[in-house]
Amino acid sequence: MRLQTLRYFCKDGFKNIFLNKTMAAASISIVVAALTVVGIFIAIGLNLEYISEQIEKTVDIRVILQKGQEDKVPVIEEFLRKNAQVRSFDYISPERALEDFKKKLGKNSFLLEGLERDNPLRGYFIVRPAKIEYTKELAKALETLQGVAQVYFPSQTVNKLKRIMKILNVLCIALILGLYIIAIFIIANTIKITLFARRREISIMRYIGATNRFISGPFVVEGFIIGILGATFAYAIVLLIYHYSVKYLSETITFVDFVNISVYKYKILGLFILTGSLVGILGSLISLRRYLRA
Amino acid sequence: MVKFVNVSKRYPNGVLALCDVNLTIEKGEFVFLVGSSGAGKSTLVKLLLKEIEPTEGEIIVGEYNLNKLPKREIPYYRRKIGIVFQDFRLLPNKTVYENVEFAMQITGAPSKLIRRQVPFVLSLVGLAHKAKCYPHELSGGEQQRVALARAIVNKPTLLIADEPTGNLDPDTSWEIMRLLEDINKRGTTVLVATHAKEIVDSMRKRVVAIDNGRIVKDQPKGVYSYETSDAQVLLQRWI
Repeated sequence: MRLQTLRYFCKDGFKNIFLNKTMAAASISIVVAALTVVGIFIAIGLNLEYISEQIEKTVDIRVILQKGQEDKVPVIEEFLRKNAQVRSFDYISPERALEDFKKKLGKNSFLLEGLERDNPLRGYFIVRPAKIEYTKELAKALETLQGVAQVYFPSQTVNKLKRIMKILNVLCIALILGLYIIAIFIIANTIKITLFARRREISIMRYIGATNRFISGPFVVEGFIIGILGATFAYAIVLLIYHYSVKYLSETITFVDFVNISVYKYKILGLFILTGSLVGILGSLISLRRYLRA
Repeated sequence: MVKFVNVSKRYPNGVLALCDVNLTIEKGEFVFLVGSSGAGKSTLVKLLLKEIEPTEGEIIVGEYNLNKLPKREIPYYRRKIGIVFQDFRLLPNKTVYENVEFAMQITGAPSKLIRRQVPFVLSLVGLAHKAKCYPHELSGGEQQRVALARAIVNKPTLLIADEPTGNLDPDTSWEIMRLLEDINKRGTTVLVATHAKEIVDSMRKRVVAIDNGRIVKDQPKGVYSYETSDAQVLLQRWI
């Protein structure tokens, strides 16, 4: 395409928006509304993901060693280091276990005095699985190792919680996609209303030999501008809503911390502008199709 | 330049608009197409624009065989011919200059050429001083002159005017016809479908009369009348 043709498309596209201000405003509002809801869903999704990640991190397996089997520690360490299902692990020796216990008791620690010589506590490993799904399998494997007395791991509730989170996440994505499709069709219909008035213009253009591509050029630019403007507004609104709702929620629900959205700022802006302009362009092309057919 | 070979057109509602039309227009000719409303003039023009397809027969315009012209080629074909309508059909949101410019922009002409050609054709139709006006600020005659400028800006070999003076007063009609004649003298083939009897009679160009879908008269340096005075025509229709 020639540069001057592109320039004409842009000039005419801007002019059309200016001449059809009401339509443009209506279309922009639709983009804003749709993207705002999309943004809210994205925020919810991110937080669900974040929460489930945090839960995952708290899951660990405790491998209690048999008494007097500390010489097996290097072997077990070697096993854990080589296992891909293990994110990290710590070894707590009986001495350290006693120290920790003392710390926990605070000023009552004198109760434990004299135990150093004949430490009743046993050494243990804290093993954190790379993924929560590995927990059971890993626990089973650890049980078979020599020197291991007992293996504790959290019950299946965590697993279930995670599955629920996953379902919610998929639901979020489905809703977002649905919203985009709805937005495209609403915009198509809004543009169609003004297109009805412009169809005479289109027929004149066809009479003097304009190709369909040439006729649709300004409309594409128009949809693009509508999409970008809508995306920018929606972005600002979502950020504001998120900021204030997190502020309110973290005061009421103290046991959960929320995602700091500013980490995803540019990603969300990029996504909004990309999908917003795509929605605008598709909307205007769909509405135009009818008049370009004949 | 233009060739109709045994062309018939029957509309889906059964009306036979054109019946076995044979017509040849040479390059550089000026032809009036006359006939009462509903005689088939507009059908003929629409066929030339490939807005509709003939039911039978072949239409050739320049190097194009319209029967074989694929749909996506139509815009490119239409750029090669100029067209003027009774209702002007200017783009309302564009100025006079932009309307003419648009016809060149769609062809992808370089802007250098556009900047030279548009003012030139505007001065040719005497509207250089109204370049920045919008169509609704112009009189009917001026609007039609803009349409003419737009039709010739791409230097078409054929110019089709469908009742170009239908909405204009007699004086203005004459202006338009003189312009069409000028354009013809510059080498463009001109086909004018019209009702303007006085103009046709005094301009003494080739006249093709059409009635009930048939060509009833084809006369070089002819006149409008074909129904009562022309005995030959009457005879033809009787036979």
